[in-house]
Amino acid sequence: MTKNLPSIVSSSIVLFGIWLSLTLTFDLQEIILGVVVSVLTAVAVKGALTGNLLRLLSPEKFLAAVGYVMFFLVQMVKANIDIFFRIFRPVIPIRPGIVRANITLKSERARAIVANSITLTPGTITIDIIDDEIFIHWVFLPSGDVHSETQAMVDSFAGRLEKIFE
Amino acid sequence: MSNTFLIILFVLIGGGLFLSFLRLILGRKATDRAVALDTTTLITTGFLVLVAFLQGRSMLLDVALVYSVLSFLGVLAIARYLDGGLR
Amino acid sequence: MSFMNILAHVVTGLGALVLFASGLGVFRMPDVFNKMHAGTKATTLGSVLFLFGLGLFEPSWLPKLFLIILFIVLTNPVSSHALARAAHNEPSEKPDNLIIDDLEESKGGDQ
Repeated sequence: MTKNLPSIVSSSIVLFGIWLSLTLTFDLQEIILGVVVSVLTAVAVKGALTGNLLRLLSPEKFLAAVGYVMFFLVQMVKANIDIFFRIFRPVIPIRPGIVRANITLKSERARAIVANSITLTPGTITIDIIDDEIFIHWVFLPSGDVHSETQAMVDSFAGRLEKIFE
Repeated sequence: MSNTFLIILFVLIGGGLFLSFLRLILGRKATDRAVALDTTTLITTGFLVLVAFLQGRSMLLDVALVYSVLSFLGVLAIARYLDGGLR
Repeated sequence: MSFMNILAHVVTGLGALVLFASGLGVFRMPDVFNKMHAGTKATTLGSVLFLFGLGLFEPSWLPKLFLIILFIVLTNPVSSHALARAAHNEPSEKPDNLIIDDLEESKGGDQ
């Protein structure tokens, strides 16, 4: 219980934010009901909804998180420009393949974030994670050494997340 | 929002919906159809929000939210089924 | 026309264009993994831009639209992973145009 306390607190805050944006009222009754429901839900799932967000309160971790989100948004826009010009070609240029890379992050949540980020970035989707290996599908395999290119791409995400999760 | 702009929006969204729905009907394999279903439901969510905006009824936003939640669960259920059920 | 109005038009139009591209991509791409590239990336950014643009027209809806956007960004990759795993595990569904396939090798090693 005490071990999960930061997770429960951060889950409650997030759930209460969702409650506020769904109801859009600021009556005292609604707010009290919202707090009760959010805290009960957060305790029931033991804070597994968000994990410990309170660690972002330290400045360097907060900056690392903002940096990650910025990096991710830029990559996502690049991915869409890439896929957009691919789709409208008369013959779609593809050279598909599934490549393995190593993932050193231990936390399950960090691994899920890396996998989801890779899915939304240029030319790559994550197929599966088995033990410490992540399998990535390329729509157009990079020229040169495929494995080291893939490893560099995974590390560019994982390295940024390590600062937040360690 | 001008009329011309609305027509452009409807043509683009409707075209995307039509093409992904065509793939849902024609799709050669089961997973192709599942991917097409995923895309179709997401474009429909956008379409619902556009209709909500045109009619000025914010109730349809809740419909869009619940629709996206249910479509996510539906696609997950289909994926688990194609993967050989719950093991 | 104010600046906000022009911005809202541009963002909404771009979103609709990207959503159209995702439909076209799902229709044109040859195999399931490549369809997934169009069906995941393009619909995510397309929905984000389209809903946010409509929110700029009607600012009182922004909180709820933000919730829908957050939900789409968080869940879209998850359903794509689930479908990708299903497509790879089932031999009859797997496309045959892969140039290299490390996952198949590592599965073969287990058995």
